[in-house]
Amino acid sequence: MACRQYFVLVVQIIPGDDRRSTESICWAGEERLFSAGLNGEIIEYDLEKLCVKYSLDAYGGPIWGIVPNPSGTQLAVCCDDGSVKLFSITPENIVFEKSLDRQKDRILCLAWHPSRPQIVTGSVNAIRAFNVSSGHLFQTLKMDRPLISGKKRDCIVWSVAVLSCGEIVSTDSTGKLRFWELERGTLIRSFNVTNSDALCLAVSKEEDSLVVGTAEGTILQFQHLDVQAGKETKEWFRTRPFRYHTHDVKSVAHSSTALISGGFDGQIICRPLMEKMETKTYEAVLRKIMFPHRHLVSCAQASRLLLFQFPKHLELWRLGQTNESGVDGDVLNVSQDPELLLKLKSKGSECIRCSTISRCGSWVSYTTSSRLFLYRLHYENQNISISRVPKMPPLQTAALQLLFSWDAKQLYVGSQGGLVYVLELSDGACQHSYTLEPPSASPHSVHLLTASSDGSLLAAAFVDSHIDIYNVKTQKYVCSVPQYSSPPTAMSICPSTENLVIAHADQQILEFNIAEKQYTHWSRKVLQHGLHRDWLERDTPITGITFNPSKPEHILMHDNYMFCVLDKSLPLPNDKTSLTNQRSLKSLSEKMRRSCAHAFKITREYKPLLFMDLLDDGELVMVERPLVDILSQLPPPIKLKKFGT
Amino acid sequence: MAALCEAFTLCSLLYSDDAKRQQQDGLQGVEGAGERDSVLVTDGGRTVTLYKVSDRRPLGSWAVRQGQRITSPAVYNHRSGEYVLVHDEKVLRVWKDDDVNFDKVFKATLSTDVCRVHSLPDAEPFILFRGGAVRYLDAMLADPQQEIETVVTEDEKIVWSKAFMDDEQPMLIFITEKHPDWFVYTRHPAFSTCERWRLPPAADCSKVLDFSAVIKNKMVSMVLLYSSGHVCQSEILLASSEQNVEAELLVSPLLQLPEPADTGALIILDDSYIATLTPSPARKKDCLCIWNTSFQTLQDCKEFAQKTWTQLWTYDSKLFIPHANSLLVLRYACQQSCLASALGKGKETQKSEAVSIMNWGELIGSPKQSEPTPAKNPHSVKETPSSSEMSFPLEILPDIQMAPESQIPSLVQRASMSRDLVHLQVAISSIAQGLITRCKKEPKFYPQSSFIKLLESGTLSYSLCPDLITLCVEKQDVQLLQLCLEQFVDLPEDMLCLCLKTFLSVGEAILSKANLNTKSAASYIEEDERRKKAMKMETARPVQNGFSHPIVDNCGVQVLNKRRIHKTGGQFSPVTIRRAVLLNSVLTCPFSETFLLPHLKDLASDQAILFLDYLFYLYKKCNDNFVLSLPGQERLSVMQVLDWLNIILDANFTVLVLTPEAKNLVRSLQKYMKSQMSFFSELNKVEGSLAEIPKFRKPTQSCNRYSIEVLTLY
Repeated sequence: MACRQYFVLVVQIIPGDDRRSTESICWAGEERLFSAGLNGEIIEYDLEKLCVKYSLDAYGGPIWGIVPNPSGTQLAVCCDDGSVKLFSITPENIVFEKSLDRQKDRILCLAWHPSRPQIVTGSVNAIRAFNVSSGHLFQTLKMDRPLISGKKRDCIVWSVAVLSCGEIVSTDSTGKLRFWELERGTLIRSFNVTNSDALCLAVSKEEDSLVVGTAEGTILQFQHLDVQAGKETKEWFRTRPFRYHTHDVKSVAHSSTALISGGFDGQIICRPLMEKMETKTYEAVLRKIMFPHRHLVSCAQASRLLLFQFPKHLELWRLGQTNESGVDGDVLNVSQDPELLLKLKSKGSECIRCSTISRCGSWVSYTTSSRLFLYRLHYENQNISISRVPKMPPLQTAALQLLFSWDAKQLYVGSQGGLVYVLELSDGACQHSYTLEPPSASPHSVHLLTASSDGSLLAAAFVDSHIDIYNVKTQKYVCSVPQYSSPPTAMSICPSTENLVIAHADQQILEFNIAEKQYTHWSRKVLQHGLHRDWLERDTPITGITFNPSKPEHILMHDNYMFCVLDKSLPLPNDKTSLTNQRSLKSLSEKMRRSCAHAFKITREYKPLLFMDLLDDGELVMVERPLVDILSQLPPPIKLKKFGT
Repeated sequence: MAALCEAFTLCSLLYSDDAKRQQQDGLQGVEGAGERDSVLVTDGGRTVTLYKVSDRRPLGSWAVRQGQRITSPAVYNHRSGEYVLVHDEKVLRVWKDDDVNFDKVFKATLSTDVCRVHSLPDAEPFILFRGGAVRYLDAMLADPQQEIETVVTEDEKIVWSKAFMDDEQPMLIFITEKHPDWFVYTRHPAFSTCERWRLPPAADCSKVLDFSAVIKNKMVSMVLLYSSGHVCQSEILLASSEQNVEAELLVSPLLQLPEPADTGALIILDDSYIATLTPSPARKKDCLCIWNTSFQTLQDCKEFAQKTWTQLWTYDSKLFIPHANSLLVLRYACQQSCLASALGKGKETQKSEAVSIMNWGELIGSPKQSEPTPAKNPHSVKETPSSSEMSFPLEILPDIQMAPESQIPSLVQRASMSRDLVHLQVAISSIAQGLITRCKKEPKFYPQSSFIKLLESGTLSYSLCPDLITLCVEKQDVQLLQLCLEQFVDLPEDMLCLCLKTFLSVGEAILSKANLNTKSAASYIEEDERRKKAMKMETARPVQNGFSHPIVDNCGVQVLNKRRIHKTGGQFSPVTIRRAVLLNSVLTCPFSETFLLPHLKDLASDQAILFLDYLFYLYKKCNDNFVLSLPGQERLSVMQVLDWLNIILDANFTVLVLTPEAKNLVRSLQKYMKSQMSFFSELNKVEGSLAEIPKFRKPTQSCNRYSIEVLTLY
């Protein structure tokens, strides 16, 4: 996830695996990502290949936390067996260094002292402090155990942090945020944060603010403020409570300008801090990340099929049909119900990274972290048969993006280093034909792929917002799109004009003429005129672009909350007019409508929108993912009494 | 409202074997130890511990020897900073913070058994002996073996005692039991006076469980908790009457607890709050309750899972309760209780744009400007880095003091031409001050138009010219008062109440002369035509020799009211439209209930009745038309009317109930409100049924997981 000036974008996803669980995650050294989980292993990830680089058993039972030291040279993990283990980070891997004094009970969290070689750990009913150089325990802070119906309950320390002044901050299962004096081991102050568990804690770099996440779904900000203006004495005050999550807040982070929280409800919330913002505009708006910013659905436009990607399986559905027609707003009777044709479970423990279906619906391919799978589908009347292509050609690097050519004779496989493998498909077999290589070696992997309808052009986009265009027929590199400042989130080649339309994360839309190797006239007009403010201030990136063959000037686009038809022949709206004017246009006469219409025809009727595509018979298919469905699959949240219920 | 805040455990209690053997449990005492945050805890056996409450940390602990037993809890001598306790009935111990070894501390053996040592801030501690005698500690230390007389009769046993400060003199109250009688003694140790009262036995033969007492205005107010669950109050007047007759105390019931109890503790928290700690047989738990004694309502309740020994102490807004094996500390908060605050209210302050705030930072250089005669300090003015604009308005100040009244408006006009906002504020406030000072000096001088001009500039506020309101009230200038109410955003509640009183009492003759805008109120104030005529007659009636006819002015209004309520049934406004306009400007003013309430109590009963009648009339007007705010410029809202209805009822309830003239009004108000309540509860039901409707609005789309729809984009 990248959090730049204007947008939040899910850049890359490392697919999961049943065999490992992730309990804690951290950045260490020079942008190296480590995680540790309840299977007892420490994992480093390869951020180019988007897979596990190596894993190492810490031999301490389940690991509850992993934290690097402030200089990024050592990793400390806290284990279920009561040990804290230190690993030194070498350029290649990590090497076990030593264990600190082992304790009797499990250690659930730990924190390094910002300046001294000390580690503070939290476990059940106690906080302990260790000297890293000697490895010895030097301080134990006992938690008072709450009495619930006459019995002493355990107080679980969920999270600890150490301030540079030597104070320890802790949150625990009694819902308290406490500050301790490390040297003497005394409780300095205590805040009742919640009636349930206070699960996580993060302190800002300047140590003037901290954020606590609770099991009730609230996050609270505490700030270190002057008690009186002009006086030196400072105190911690509870300043802002926020409630965006419906379930437990499992993790919080405090950046210099925002509070970021991740919850059990699958949402990541980025709450900018107003006082840190120089301009009180769109940047100060709350960001919510609910869905991955990429396709989990693919469509066989010619045969009316949809392929849904789930973590461990694929579902193939045939769309329903109607034989009625109607006017705007009508709901037509479904004469043929949608039908689940196939449920394809992935082999092994690895999750599916990406999947695709060919236009004709006769090929399905998916890839996991380590393997690429290709299936041939046969349709005979109402029956469907599936056969796996047995011998997949060995590829040197892992497949990250998949795309079938328009005529389904080729499978393009995007990979790391900017490579695109072209696999030749024949009936029941698959061969590696050739590899497209970028003119200059790129460290980035292929992020998006799109092909032209005549099967000659292929565009591959990288995370660094670099886009290369190849001619597949001549197997040659054609050109690159001038590099734009923000990464592309969707792109597509128009079947009629062969122009490449690109949507960027900062909501800019560009049209590139491949033949002339330059932006089109319309695109330059857009850049000159600027897009409507409401368009630029949308929250989620465009994740799908498609074209209407019958109306070449139309570009169809969608993000999570809207569907838009961009009519290039109409004037661009300026900031004074309303961007979403469909409702007012509807009430106008035909003539007035023509004078008021602008290029963006937006509907927010369907949301949250996962996918949109145009079928060959001119029907538009959209896939909604109601939040209620997702929430209903989650365990019930802590019941909160709300006023008036 | 009163509420219990979070509880925390101060310390755990370890009961010594001695204590267990003697069937003594709980604590002997929790006493303040000098500083606000520290307490001395004397446990049931041998130990005294000094705690810092907020830190939950012991600062010191001392214990008497094995085999000895503390018989009077340790207290802190505020004068000498020492601690005092008595162990084994007679042995007095005095020690300081830094004494570590308790065996080595000062020790004195007295000749007689001690009941308790009492200590008060700013007073010498004194000792209450078993026999009822009282001695100062220093006197006893000087001669420990002195003879001590016996005051109480034989078989009388002191069960409870408490010390107070009365007129900077310590005094003591203690209660003795001589089965089945109870006696109350009050003693001033200095004067060695002793008075004795008999406590009448309870009607239902229930015994007294606990006592608590406070002293206020020479009156000891004592609260008793009976085993039947009754809480009674008794008051003892500390008049130094020499009669030594054993008078019987008058005990009046105060409260009835829900359940009777065998043991219990009670403590007075505040004028209107008490805390009780009683075991509840029904729930099998000990309950700590805070009761409001004025309204007999339960404010807060806390149940304890384990035994509490039914002991209760309070110190520094904290309750101390031994609970199982620990000492719990509960913070509590008591607030002034009033009926209106329970009902809530929303104030609409629409005048926020006209707030005039002085920029004090710019005025630091000239601190004398707001004084009445700033011109006498010209050098202080020159010190400020201001331009001629600044000094110009100040130059005219001497003129204002001297010039004839006819020239004042032109001077004011000139001064208010200043462009700079800050300087304009300074100028206008100085001129207003100057004019007010002059008005005070010269009774005939009153430049009303200039004041209006100054007020209309929108820069004056109450704090800039605090004397203007009193001046207007003095001059009975209702027009200016109304303008002040509109313009001043920082009007204090006492001034608001003063305006209200003036508006209610000012004569019709003055009202009719004042230049008031009645247009906006005319749409909803209907005056009785007959009354108008009557008014005209009254105003026309000559006043002879200072004698005024009984039905002129406010009395007249009231007499007419009575007639009107009977005859017209509240169809017409109880006040004239001019008075109504003035009252409306009071109603729209922002106020804070807590501060307004005491001042409203000063309203005369006829004023209160008239005002209530008018509010009732306005409320009915709102209801007639089903509107939330009345038409007109000031947009009087129904919530404002209700707020004022509440607060006026709250402030003058007794007066209204007891005044025969108000009877009809209060009764009809009650009837009306009751019908309103039933009406709104019906509406509530309808709303409840209709609340389901939004759920049915999108029946087809929400339940269908797959649909084919037609969508047109224009």
